[in-house]
Amino acid sequence: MDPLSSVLPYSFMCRLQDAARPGQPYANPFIHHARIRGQRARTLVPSTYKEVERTYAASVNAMDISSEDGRFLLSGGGDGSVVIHGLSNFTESVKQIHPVVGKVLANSSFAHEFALSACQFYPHDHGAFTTSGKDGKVKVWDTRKMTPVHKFTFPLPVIDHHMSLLKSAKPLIAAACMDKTIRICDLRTLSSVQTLSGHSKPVNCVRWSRHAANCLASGGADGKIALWDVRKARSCLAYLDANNAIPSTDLNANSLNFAHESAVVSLEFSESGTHLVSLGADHRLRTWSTVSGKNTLVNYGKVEFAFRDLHRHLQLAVTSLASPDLIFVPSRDKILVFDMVSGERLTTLTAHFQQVLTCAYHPHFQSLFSGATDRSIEMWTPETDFCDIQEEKEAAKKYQMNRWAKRQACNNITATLTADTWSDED
Amino acid sequence: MALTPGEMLSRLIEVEVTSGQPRLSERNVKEIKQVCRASEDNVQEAFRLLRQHLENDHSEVRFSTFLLMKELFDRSHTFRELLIDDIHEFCVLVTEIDKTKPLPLPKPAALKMKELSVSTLKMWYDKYGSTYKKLRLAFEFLRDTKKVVLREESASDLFRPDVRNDVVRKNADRTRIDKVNAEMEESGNELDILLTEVETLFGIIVPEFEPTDAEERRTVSREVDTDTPNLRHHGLPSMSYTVQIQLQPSSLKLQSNSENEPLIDKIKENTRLLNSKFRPVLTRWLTLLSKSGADVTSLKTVIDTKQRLENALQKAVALGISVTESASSGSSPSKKRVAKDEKEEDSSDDEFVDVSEIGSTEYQAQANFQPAISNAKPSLSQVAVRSDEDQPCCSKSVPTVGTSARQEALAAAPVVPFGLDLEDWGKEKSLTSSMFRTPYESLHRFWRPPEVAEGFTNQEVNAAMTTRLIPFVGTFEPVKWSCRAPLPNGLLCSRQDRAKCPFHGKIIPRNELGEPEREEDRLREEREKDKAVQDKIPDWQDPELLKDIQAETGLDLKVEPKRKKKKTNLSDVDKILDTPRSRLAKKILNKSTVKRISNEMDEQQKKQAAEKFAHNWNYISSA
Repeated sequence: MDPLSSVLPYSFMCRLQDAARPGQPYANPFIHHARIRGQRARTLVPSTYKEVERTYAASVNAMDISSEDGRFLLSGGGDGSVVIHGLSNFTESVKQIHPVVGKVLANSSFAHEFALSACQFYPHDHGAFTTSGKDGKVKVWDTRKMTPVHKFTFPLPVIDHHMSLLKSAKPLIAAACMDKTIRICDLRTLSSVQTLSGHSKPVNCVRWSRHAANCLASGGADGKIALWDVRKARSCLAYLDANNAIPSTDLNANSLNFAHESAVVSLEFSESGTHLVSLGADHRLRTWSTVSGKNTLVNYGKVEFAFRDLHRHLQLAVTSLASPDLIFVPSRDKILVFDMVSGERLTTLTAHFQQVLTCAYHPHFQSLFSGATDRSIEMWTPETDFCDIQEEKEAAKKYQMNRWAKRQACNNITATLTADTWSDED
Repeated sequence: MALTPGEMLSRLIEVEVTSGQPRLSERNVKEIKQVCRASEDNVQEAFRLLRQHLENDHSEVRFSTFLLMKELFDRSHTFRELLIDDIHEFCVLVTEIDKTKPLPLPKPAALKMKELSVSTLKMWYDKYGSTYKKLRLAFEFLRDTKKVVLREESASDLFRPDVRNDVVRKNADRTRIDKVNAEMEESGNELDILLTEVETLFGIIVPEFEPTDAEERRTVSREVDTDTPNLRHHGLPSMSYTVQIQLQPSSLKLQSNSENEPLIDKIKENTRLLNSKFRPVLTRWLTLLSKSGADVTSLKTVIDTKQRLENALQKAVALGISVTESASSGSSPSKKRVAKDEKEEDSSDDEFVDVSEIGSTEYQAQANFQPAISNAKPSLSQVAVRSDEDQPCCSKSVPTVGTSARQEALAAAPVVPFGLDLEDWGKEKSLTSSMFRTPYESLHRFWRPPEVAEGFTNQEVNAAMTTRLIPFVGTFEPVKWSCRAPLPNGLLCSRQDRAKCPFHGKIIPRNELGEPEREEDRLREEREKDKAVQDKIPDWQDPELLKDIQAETGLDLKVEPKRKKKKTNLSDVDKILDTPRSRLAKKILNKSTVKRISNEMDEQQKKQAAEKFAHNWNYISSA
């Protein structure tokens, strides 16, 4: 059975098949539907029929969706617990609750001692995932057993960590630490191999580039965004500047290039890897071109940041497989949806009752998951989402039959036209 | 002019929201609902208005707004959608989920709102939760994250009067009834015996006596039934005659003789006892029982007994037997009784409305009747006469003509209250000085108070003791004229002052229109009027001047007249906040004061440190 068919709604699969060229059923089907998906992603509402099972007794600090197949939702709580929800088990009923398929309780000996700060599936396989916590540990887990395989320990809290999504990249974990450095951990040797220092205050967020395998960006509480190449002896490439000042020559903590007036709390590369989105505690959202390293100067307006504590990471989300690119930014108890290119605020999503901490976009469903301090994971789906799997199936079948009939008719015509019309009378 | 629906809504909602009442007026709510029903736009407008009011910094306003919202929520889908779309803010404003945004004062309304809102949300969740996702989320947030305690009772229960109060009241009632029942058992027997005695005695004295009312004439008609021959004996030709005998109360006066005297005495004795002792007791029982909601049977027995007693008393009165005690001895007990009654009334619950006893007034009046003379204060004339009588005299049987003239003169003479001046009246020697001498003068061997001149008296005290102030009372001459100055409403001033009207000054002759008749008065009045116009705006508030000042210096010195506070039905929040503590805190904890005091304390500390240092030096050098 095809792996996608277990994940995607039936009708969607049919549509994909229709779009596919004959002979190559699944050759990059998504491109054709990017605009449709973009349209769907614009109209998110709190899902009426789909829900994520409530388990948390603390805030939901971080989330990730298994990027390869989108079948699992990984999330980490403020009490150190880790939960995996299954997203692919569709039932026949109208209401669908995505169940918990794996959980590490807060009081378990495997769990992080303090709050969890980031979590991510191993990019190429959901059989492993990584988490980092305020207890200064980065853990690598076996998903099946829900037990840690290895842990990297650092002296101070880890605020964020990230692994490259590129297939060509080496399995390196970049961990943003409270001690103003970024630690690079190699999963092949299970050791911390490199320390990148260049921030004058704790590093809040770190993201690997999506087009250059060895490059990463980091944002610090000092308001700087630094670009690094881990292969280089002098790893820092540049500090981004909000006013597009000439890149300064001193590539160290004394640099005067500031990306934000206050701490940088979130970084995310666009799917294409050409843009970098950053959120600052100065209530600004900025988009940077990764090619030129310049601020694109798109005005997104004010994005409120309500925390007094500047050493934290908020997880914003960008759409993938959709056009145009959208940004989902947590701001207080709301999620703001922006068009990345135009800067237009499309909608404001309100259903949370306290600070939203994390967003994760599901590219296949065009739906969004968000976690907040109010201990809930909310699921946002497009307005026109199908509600009943049974109905959906029937509709899809009808559609397919219709197409089949048409094709058949077409074939008949061609058959009649292309057929030889010798007559006995000749 | 017809109001637009928007204006009407705004007005109705404003009235309802500022009522300060814990309930909504049904009429207004109905009207609001009707307006909202007319169109969706009106619902949206109503929501907008209510949402505005919900942010008011007064819990009573918020509470009323919340109640209104609740009413509309149950009706309109549009309203529900609007409210649920905004439910986070709504919860913050109503259930206090955000500790940084507490509910405003006054506190009782806030608490009530919080409680009601939580139970209402639960109700909404039960009813609409399946359809409105956000409502479900809000409720789950309250339940799971905020751990709000959800009570099972519905919202209407909150409006029920306190059950505990009811229980307390019921218990009090029961004890009261038990007490009355005990009393009834105790003295009911005696009462019964007395009543039966009186009734039998009446039967003996006046057989077949029908009770009559004193005022009402009763006609007793009796058909004469006899044989025809009998009729003939009497010279009556027919049987159809009727004879009417009118019994009038005056004809029923008893004539006591040696035969019936003991009976009458007995009746007298019993009725007096019944009237003075048992009637008030019965009245009290009746009120207590009816107030505390006793069962019908016990009430009925008391009413029956009272009816019997009243009948007996009525009969006695009709027979000319006085039911009140004699004048000499009757005053005090009856008074005492009244006083006692009042006391008992007080001791029982005040919240009951007193029920007037029909038919008892008549007796009350009789019972309270007292000879006026015995209680009146002795007047001077009486005293004088008595003093005359006290003098030894050989013959005082016939009052002389002279004394009567003297009495008349005395009666006409004014009465003067007794005072110190009268004590020394006509005496030459002044005693006042001795009165102020201290009795402890020579108690000490050596020490004496400062020498006081012998016979020294305070002049003022002396004067007060020897003189009497008698205010002159002249004949009152009523004022026959009025001010008649023209008033702004076109009428003339109708004040009747002797010389000067407090509003229009000296009273002067005026014509029909109120203008002064004399030329000089007219001129003076005009002058005054001009001056009043000028004085209306004080010089320093002259708008021209102020404009100039503003142009020159940029300062706007205009003083706005103080605005009067709008009268509302809401409880005053400022008053709640204005506690002695807050007033003191304003003074003590104000920034400048704290700064000054801390400076001063720093100074002192420095001084102490310097001193210590100096001492240190001393110790070292001395060691």
